[in-house]
Amino acid sequence: MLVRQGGHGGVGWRAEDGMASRAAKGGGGLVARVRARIPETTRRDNIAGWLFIAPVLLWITVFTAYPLLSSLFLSFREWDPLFTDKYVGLANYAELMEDRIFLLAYRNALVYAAITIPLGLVWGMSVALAVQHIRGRAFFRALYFLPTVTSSVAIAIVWSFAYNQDYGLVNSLLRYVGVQGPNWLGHTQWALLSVSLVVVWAGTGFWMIVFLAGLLDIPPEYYDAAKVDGATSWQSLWRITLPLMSPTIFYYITNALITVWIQFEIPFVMTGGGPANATLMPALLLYDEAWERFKMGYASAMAWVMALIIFIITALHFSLSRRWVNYDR
Amino acid sequence: MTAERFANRQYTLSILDEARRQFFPVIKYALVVAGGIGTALPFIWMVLSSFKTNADIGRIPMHWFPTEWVPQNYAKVFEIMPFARFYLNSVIVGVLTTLGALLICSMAAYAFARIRFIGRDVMFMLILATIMIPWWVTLIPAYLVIRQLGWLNTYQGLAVPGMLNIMGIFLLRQFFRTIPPDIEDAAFVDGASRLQIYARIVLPMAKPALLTVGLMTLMGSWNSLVWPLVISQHESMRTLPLGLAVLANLAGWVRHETGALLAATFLSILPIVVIYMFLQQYFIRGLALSGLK
Repeated sequence: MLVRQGGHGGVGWRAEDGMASRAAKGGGGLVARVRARIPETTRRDNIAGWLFIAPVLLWITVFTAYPLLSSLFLSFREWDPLFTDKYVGLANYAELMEDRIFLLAYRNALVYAAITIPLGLVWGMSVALAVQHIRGRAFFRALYFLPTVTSSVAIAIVWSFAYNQDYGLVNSLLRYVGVQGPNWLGHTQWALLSVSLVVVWAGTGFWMIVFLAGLLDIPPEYYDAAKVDGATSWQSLWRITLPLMSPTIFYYITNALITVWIQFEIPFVMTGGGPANATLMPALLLYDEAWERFKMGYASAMAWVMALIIFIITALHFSLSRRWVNYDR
Repeated sequence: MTAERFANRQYTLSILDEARRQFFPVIKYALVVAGGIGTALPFIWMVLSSFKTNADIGRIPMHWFPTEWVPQNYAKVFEIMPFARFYLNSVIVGVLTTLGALLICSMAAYAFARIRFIGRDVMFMLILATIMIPWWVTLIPAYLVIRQLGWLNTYQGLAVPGMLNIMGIFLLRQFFRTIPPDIEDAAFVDGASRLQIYARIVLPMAKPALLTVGLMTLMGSWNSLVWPLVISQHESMRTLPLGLAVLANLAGWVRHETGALLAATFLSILPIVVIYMFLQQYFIRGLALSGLK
């Protein structure tokens, strides 16, 4: 493996071949021979390399690897930080499958996904296509990106006022066109839609930038050739742009499918999961179980269900992207 | 007869096509401008309303500009919550997290880019793969680790876990690989050690990449809610997003102090927005790169 890697090493590395072959010809035990094959500079590089990555490894061990195993362990126990610690096998998981609130959170997440994913794709793509060649695109790009750098909490606070039935921005604008808007966040029928729209609004700028990067990758000659053949821009869009954008679109869909299950901030601040659990999402419920009710074993089982779904989506992404996506280059 | 009809149809099509050609740019502008207004309005409304009295905010129908400009909301922000403390907490946590992340991530990135060591490629793949672990899965035990360390309600408890930025390692490694190796080789000949080369040669050359990763980390820390929510149980250790989220959830309070809450929200996003205005390309590059395969 060491020799296979091309690229750059220190100066000492370049002398390696000669030294290594000379050492290999000498006798000695296996360990000594292997040792002798590794020149001094390489041995020092081995130590240096591991020392340089040691801090990151420490962090990963303490804050990723250990917690990952620990939460799996916890998910088979009835556990809280103070009083309870009992092995219950798969009971937590069995309980989850019958927990109506848990199933409701996943049903809400599916509705949320069905709203945000297509809308975010069509809107983000439309804006990217429209902004691509117009004057002032740098300004618009910067403006659309603004919500991406703003905290979700700030966005959620401003929007919860904007959705106010009486003096809110949304209903005030609707009033201009003669429509009396509903109580967006207070009504079970509208709350999930309202929260979803804020998520789309907040994500537009980020996805616009990603889509713009994808659009830049399409060779302009394709469009020129299509124009010569008499294609309209509508035809170019469907026959050239969208097929060649399929890797980016596929990436968008996978990413959006993953973030559905971990969405927390915006519903937490805007509705707290209400009214009547209409905007309760999996992550909100997990937080509630773990830190409001201190059922950390049960919450860990929830976390692993979430993880399993995300792992499946990721695996599907990798296996399907080979078949479905047009990687033309 | 058929031919005539066909010609007619062609004619109609070409007119439609012409109309479309004229029309498309207009639609494009209309779409972008409308979306732009939609993006800006909530921000504009927030800033304007932060200068209104509460009665003025609640007036129906809504009116855009304050009837009377009242800056008092900005003073009230500091009376109704320990706003200065929240701000200080956010700054301390943000700076600690960012500096720590730049240090540990650039060290690992340098090793992965330039040092040949046994297991390098395996370790790199393993570390990258941890991106796929949803962090809600590790959240409960990570909280318990911090609790065990006695770091609840401390700055280190808030900042230390956030120093791990896998995307940052990846971006910095990509950048380090573009630095010509001859420069390092020359330093080697002069007898410099790995650490010296990393600290004196590679890092100074990587300023743009460090800035990108630093801004991503700072922004992530400044805006984060969930980690402070589980780590800071005392009011005095709340960061800005947490402090605001807690206040926004107190419905009665919100009804009475909307103007002050909006003023606080505006002040809380101001530093990142100002930095963003000046260093836009670094933000967009960093976030867009992290969004690409």
